[in-house]
Amino acid sequence: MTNCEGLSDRMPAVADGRSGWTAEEQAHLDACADCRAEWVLVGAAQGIGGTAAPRTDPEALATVVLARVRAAERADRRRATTRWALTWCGLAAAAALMLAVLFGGPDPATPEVATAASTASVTDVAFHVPLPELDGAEPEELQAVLDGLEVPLGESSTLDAGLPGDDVTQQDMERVLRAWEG
Amino acid sequence: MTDAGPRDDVALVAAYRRADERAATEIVRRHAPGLARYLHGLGAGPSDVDDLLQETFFKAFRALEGWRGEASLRGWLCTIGANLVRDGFRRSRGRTVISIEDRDLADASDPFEEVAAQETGSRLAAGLAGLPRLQREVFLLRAQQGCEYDDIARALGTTPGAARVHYHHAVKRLKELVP
Repeated sequence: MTNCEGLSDRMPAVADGRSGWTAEEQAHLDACADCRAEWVLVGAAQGIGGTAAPRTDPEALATVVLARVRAAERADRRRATTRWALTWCGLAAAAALMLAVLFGGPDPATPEVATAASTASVTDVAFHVPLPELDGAEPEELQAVLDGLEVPLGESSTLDAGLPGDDVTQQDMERVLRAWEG
Repeated sequence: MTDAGPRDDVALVAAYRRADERAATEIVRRHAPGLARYLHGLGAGPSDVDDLLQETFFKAFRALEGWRGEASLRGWLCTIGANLVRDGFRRSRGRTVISIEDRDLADASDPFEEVAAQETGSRLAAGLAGLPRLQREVFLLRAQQGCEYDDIARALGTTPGAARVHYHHAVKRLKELVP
C-alpha cells in the first residue's frame, strides 16, 4: 500500500523522468491533497533555473577550467620549490652557525679572553683594560709592574695629605691659597 | 542523480586522474546544466552562474584527487557551488535577486498552464529565499537534483535522518507559499 512517505521518496525520480507512477501511486496522489501539494513543489523545483543553463559551451568551459588548474598547479610547484630552497638555506645557515660556535669560536688563549681573566685575578678594580703586552709576562715581572704602580688613593692618601695642619698661621694659609690661585 | 550515474562519474574521475582531459570535458558536460540550475535555485543571479560554474569546476578539479566516490560527484559539486554562493553573499552582505525564470514543466502548448507554472515557480523561488540555508539546500538537492538522503547527508555533513527532516520542514513551509 502506498503511503505519503513512500510517494514522497519517489517524487524526484518521477519528476525528472527516470520513473513513472504506478496505478496505485497515481490513485494515492489523486486522493491525497498533501502529496499533490508536494508534487507541485517538486515539479516546480525541477523547473527552477531552467534558463540558467551555462552560456559557455561545456568544452570551452572545460578548457578554461583545465588551463586554470594547470596554471595553479605550476604556481604550487613554484611555491613548493621556493619553500624547499628557503628551508634548505635556513638549515644550511643554522648548521654553519652551529659549526662556527663549536669549532670556529674564539680560542680561550686568545689575548682578549686571557687579558680579561688576568686582569680580574690581579686587581679588584672595576675597569678591565686590555694589556696584551702583559700576557706573556712571568709572575715576578707582573709583581714588579704592580709594585711600580701608584698606591690607590683610598688606601693611604687623603685629601688632607700634604696640607698644612692646625698649627699653621693665618698668614701661612693665605699664602698657600694665593699660591693655588696663581 | 538526474544526469549521470555515479558509476560513470567514478570512471570519468579515474580517467581524469590518468591525465585524460576528455574526461574532464565529459564531467563538465554532464554536470554543468544541473549545477547551473542548482546555483540559480540558491539565489545566484543569471549573470553570475557562468562565473560560479567555472569557479566550482576549478575548485573541484583542484581537489579531485581527494574525491573517493563515497558521495556522488553531483552532490559534491553542488556543495562546492553552494559554498561559493554563500561566500558571495557574505562578501556582498546581502542576497542577490532570485531569478524567476522557470522551465515550463506543463504542456507548453497551453498558455494558461504555462502562466500557472511560471507563477508557481516564482512563488517557489521566493519561498526558497526565505528558508534557512540547510532547508533550502536539502530541498534543492532532493527535489531538483534528485539526490538520495544518504548523498545529501554526506554532501552537507549531516545525517540522512536530519536531511529528511530538513526536507519535510522545507516542504511544509513551501506549501504555505505555493498553493
